Amino acid sequence: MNDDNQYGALAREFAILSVLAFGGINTVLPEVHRQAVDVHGWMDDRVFADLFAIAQAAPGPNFMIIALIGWHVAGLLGAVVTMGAFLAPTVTLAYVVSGAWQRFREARWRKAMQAGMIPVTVGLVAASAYVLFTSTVDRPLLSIATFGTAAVALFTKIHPLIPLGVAGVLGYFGWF
Amino acid sequence: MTVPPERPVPEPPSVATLFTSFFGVSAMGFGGVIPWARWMVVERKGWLTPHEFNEVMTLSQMLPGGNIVNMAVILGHRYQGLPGALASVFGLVAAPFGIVIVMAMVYDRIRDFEGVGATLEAVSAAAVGLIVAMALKMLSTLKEEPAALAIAAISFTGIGLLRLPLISTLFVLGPLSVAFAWYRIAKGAP
Repeated sequence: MNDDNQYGALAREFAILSVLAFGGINTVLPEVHRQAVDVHGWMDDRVFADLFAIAQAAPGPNFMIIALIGWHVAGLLGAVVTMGAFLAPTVTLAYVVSGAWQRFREARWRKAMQAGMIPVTVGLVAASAYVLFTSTVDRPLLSIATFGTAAVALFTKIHPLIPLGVAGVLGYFGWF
Repeated sequence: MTVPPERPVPEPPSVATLFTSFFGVSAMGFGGVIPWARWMVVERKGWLTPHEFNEVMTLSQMLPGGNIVNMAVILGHRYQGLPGALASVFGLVAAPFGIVIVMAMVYDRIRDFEGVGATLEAVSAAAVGLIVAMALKMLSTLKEEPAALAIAAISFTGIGLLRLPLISTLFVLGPLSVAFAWYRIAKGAP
């Protein structure tokens, strides 16, 4: 396989995955794994798990594993191509829909869609908080970091980096 | 269910402000950028009210792709058109893109350092706290609407507790909830 083909394959796979990713990257993560490991053989399970861990540990959107796959396959240009292919289709769609959504703000169908979907979204956010909590916090002591941070964010105007930093320092010294 | 009017932002953020704002929250955004974006646009800059944030978040969620990317496009477009949308997305992606590549380069050297795992674990647990707080803040905007609270509870139960597949749950609950909202609007609900 020559380099042109690799860039093409990366761009094609991630452009397709992008428009299928309703609900974000987590919906298509199993398919990302299948493409990267089974279909294209770009990496083995261990490398995929490492890239996933790096993307999780870094700040920023949780789809950065996409950039890392591109980087692993074809270096910096691969990362740029992969990221661009993943972003371009949904950015275009969001731009078009956002304009229409503003234009029809007085339409009844839009009001009904908004009023109907907002509580579904709020429930989804609560569900992701719950799912992340149960998968990340595996012992009572660690939940102090979670609930302490939640309390700071709810009841104070303290910058959120401060409770995160405190948790990191306490974690480093093995307090959790 | 009340739908607040979309008030014009007193002073729309410039293209440069959109870039730096999304760059900033993204670089800090441990455990996902959306709680940080809400903190920025609602609590720090006042671009959106809590209700308007719910609206933008809902539209972002209904579209495919990363929710935070859609949110960046929608806000950038609303305030500064195409240049605003592009500036927001580039701001959002630039810092984490650089950070993950650098981390991947040094990963093999730091992965076994003592304390790295425990630190990351604690920061992740704290970052979940930001999402818990955001969920409660979003929920509090519905507190005077029993029907909306009931739908939020069903959505939470289906996805969070029963772990039903996201897409099929949305395709069942979404249209039902929208039809109910349509019926209430037709009846002249406030």
